[in-house]
Amino acid sequence: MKYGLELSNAGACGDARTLAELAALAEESGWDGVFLEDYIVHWSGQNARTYDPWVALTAMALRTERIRLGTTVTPLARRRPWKLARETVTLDHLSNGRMILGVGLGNGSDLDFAQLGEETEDRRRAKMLDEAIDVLIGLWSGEPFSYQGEHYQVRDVTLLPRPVQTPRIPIWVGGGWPRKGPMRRAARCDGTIFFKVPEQGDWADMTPADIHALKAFVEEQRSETLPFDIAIGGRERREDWDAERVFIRSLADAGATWSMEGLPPADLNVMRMWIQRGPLRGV
Amino acid sequence: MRYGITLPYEDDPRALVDLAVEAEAAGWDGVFVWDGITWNDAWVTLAAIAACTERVRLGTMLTPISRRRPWKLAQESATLDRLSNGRLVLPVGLGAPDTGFANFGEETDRKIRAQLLDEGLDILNGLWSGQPFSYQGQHNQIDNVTFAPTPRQSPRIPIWVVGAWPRMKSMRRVLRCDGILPAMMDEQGKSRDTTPDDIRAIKQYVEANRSETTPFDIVMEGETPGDDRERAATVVRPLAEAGVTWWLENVWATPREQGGLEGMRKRILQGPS
Repeated sequence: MKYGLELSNAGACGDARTLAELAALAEESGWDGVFLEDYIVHWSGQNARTYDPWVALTAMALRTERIRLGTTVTPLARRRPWKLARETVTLDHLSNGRMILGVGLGNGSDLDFAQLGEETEDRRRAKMLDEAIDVLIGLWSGEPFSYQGEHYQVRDVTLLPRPVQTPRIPIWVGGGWPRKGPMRRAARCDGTIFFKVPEQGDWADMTPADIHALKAFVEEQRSETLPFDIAIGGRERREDWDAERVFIRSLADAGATWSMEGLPPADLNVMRMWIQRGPLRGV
Repeated sequence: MRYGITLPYEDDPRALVDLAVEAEAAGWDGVFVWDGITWNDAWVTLAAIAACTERVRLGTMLTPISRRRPWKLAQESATLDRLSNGRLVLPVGLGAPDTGFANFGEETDRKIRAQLLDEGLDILNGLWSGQPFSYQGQHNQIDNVTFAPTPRQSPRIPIWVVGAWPRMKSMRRVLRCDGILPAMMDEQGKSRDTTPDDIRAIKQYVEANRSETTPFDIVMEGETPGDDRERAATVVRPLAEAGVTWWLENVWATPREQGGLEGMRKRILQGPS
């Protein structure tokens, strides 16, 4: 089981240098990865300081050697996939092959979409997401690539260099479990970073049964024998650490491979303390 | 006169970061990287250079706004300006056709690219201000967005723009910005070399017509020998006297016949003219 931190891309720590420092601290404190949100205008309010995650991840890559780095998640529908292909490959080289790309639909009502004239209709965004994944994988291949999609067209382009990682930078699909779209998408990618659609309220934890079902689905759909990551969590640590450890253990036993702890934006000293306590290890 | 280097494409972005660090130590004032889909990402590369340097100015050469979302550009430039402690400049233009346009279905029509450039400049200025910003353009619509944080530099990251002299539409755009990369046109509309007299004419025009109070730079690119200060001076001195404030050494022009990366490194270590 690997342990990741999910950091907001806003708040008092909304600055690339600070994030680089926190990433270095995370590496020293035993974490296996640090992941950033990806917003242009942060959901927490108009005046929230945000930063470009790619610039921040670069600063973080230069201050670390071992931990994985990435976004959870980048909504592809508001990006040009070829620009993103370049950002990720350049970062993969600068980090010596440690990038992970989380991808998602975004929310039509997000400030990032609605207020910047981006696509707000869910089905079109889903199509753009699927096409963008095709384009990313094609461009990362380093082979001559062409694509005729509804939203994206590429004409005989060869992008070099390839990523450091082989066969490619892992793509983790975000979305709500057990929605069909994210599941289908995940089967052709390299991992999941799902949230569970709650029956009531605004949060529900994945259960071991959920993980078993997800794993079975992916194994059935996937022809590749390549590694597949199932990341769970994404919320703050609860007060009862023993119960949390048992919970994480149960999901690891069911097949989850990454446990993600979300840190809300807070005072810098508080964040340092949270990071330094290290992950809650279930196994 | 300040001296920068323009670095070309290298497969390994770390090689460019190393060259930038050496350039800073050798006394260069700025480091610029190519910005296009054909090459490694300029912004990630500049972020790495920013993290490894302290003094040199940083910038792309150059960013064609027409194939970017201006709000993404606003965010990455502001973040980079903060990371670098206020060392970014932003050269912009219509962009050369072979830097990633047609093959990705991007806009190729020159007039539309100019509109996108102008709207992009409006949006950069609006978002960088940190004030609530709305915009109703032909191509871009923004509804009450407040960006935070603003760039480190105040009032903004200096914008250098390609200016076709003496085309008035192009020069009016120059007046809104903080620097010009002159592109001279002859009577047939073909490009020609820039002379010191051209620079004097441009400088006079800008001083007479510009209402912005920020400093204004006149930027030229070229190659000078690093091992012959006198010959280098014959190129640069007349331009400096005429009003050029930045000289960008195209170190990429030197190397292929002279050993690639090592050739570039040699020129960089020789320092500015």
